[in-house]
Amino acid sequence: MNASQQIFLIARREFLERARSRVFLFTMLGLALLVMGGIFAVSFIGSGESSVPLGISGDSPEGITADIEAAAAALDTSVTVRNYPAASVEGAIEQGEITAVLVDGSTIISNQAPSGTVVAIFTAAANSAVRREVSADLGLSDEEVVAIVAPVRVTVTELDPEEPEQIARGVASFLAAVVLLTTIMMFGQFVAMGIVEEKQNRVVEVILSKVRATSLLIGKVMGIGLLGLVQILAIGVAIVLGLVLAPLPDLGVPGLTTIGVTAVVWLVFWFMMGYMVYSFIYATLGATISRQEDMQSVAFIPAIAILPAYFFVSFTASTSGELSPLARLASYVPLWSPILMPYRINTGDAMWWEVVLAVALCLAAMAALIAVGSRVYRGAALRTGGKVSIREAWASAAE
Amino acid sequence: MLSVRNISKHFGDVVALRDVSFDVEPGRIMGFLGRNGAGKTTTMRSVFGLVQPDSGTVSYNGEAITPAARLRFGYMPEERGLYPRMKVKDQLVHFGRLSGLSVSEAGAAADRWLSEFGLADRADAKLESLSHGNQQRIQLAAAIVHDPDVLVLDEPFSGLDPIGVASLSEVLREFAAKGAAILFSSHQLDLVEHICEDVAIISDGRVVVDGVLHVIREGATYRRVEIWVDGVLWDPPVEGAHRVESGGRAHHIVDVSSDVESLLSLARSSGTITRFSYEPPSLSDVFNEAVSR
Repeated sequence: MNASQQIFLIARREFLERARSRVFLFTMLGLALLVMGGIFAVSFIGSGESSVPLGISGDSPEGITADIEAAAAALDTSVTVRNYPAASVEGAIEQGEITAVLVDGSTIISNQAPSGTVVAIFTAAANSAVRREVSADLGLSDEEVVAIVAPVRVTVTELDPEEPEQIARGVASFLAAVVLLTTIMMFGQFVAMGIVEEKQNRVVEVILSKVRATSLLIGKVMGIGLLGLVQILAIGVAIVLGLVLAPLPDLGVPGLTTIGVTAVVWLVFWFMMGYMVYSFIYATLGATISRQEDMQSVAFIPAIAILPAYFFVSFTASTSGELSPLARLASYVPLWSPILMPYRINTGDAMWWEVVLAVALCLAAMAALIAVGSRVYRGAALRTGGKVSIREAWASAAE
Repeated sequence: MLSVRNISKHFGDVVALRDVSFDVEPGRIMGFLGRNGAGKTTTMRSVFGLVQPDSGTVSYNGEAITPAARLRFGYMPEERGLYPRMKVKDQLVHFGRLSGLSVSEAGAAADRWLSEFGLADRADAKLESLSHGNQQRIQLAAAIVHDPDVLVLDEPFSGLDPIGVASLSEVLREFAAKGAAILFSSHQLDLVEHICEDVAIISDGRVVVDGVLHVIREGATYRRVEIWVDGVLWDPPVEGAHRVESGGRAHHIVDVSSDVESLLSLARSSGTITRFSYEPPSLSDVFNEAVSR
């Protein structure tokens, strides 16, 4: 029985005992369903807004308003249609008063690419109007008109075009950062709770009589980490399934699923990096307290430590989409790189050497944290009266 | 042989152990006695590397104790603790495997001890659903599931009912018969007297008595006598004899030079002897003297 076998046994116990608990299973499935449900919800919101404000302008065919309403009704969408003088179209769109305007019955003007539904409504309406005109002029039946009139193609003019792929990447990157942040914190906290639990119910003394503190620490982190990996894989699978199955509005992004899968792969990888850094921080802090009730007094430390990464990401996502130089620098630092580097990778902003550097720094930080953590753990594991300071635990392990 | 040699330890300003030495021989049971805070737990923890002595060594068969060697040790700490929500048998198998048993060996050993303690039907129960006494039995099973060569038990009898005490005593004798070296601490001196061949008494961090129990008792400079003549306690008319009351009963202490034969003939000349006992001091006497020195 060597140290690595003991580490395996401890990791195995941590994993199995927790994976068997109903709470974990429900949480895992619940989160996965929530994520998938979110994607479905987005697709419904995109396609079924309560009343889409649309406009017409210029030389519109007669009866186009009724055609638009009829086309919208056929797609289960409710719209309001207003006629704008040509001069005020752009102003109304830019102020967000109106989503899209059909000009001269053939061109859609909107701020960014209009949704597939809007395009479909305008296209159907333009075609109906043209066919009605032809049918009235030539006295033909509907079937005859359809046979001889070529379908009208409406063109789209975007006032403020944005690459749709860029939008999709931006959203995916932000969501990935949020998922990473929450899972890293959640499983890191599990590690701290596991350590306190063993101290609180005193089993730690029995284990440490057989196993070195370092092995116990690594085994525990590995077992709970494996559980986190299962959780994040479940979320990843839910994301990919959602992208494949949900009736998403046509964003005009051909490789949406591929983007999703790539993001999920990086998600899993950076979860491991972030978890390894934070779990040893949580473990070290958990070792210094003796009761679950005292958890609050230490759990806020890693939560605050990770916050800058969240600020950088949410600030960037809500503004330009480009990380500031300070945020770029932060993306190498092990405390923040697990959130910031995948964000940069997902938005296509990271050079390969930057990724390698961030990973190397994470691994180095992890090695240092294991050394510090196991010494503090050794010094504090049997101190069951209240809170022990890290310095005190460090010193008492040396005695 | 487990050898504790000259270990000293301080925690801050508090000196916990001062030059503590004793041996626990294979096949023998040593009782480790001392008042609360005398240093018993610290000594036991240092056997498992849970406390690093400032100086001195703990060795097994003449060699420093490596983590691998320690796997052949069994430990039951004073602060009991196992995983409350883990199934009883899974728990024993886990500890068995951590000590190096294979899956099948650990499973067989867990089954064996569960049936030995009459808990075979609770194998799949969560530990927290067991009564206090049964949890205590599982705690012991976790300490011995890997059939250790050295057994260190901190207060193993506390909280046990008389049946539990008897069955634990039986287990200790069984292990000793197989050649294990056993060290256990207890405040129940009559029990220790009953089970142990050897004792070590620690007081204020220092070992004050250490050796074979009956030799220690026989080696005392006095004897306790209780002689009743014509239905009343008789005062032995020998030099230095004095009366001692304990627990509502009185007896006398006489010098070891007052032998049985002369006391008997003196008593007989005073009347009819209705009760006669002449014994070396009990462990309790030895203990009280040792710790109040």
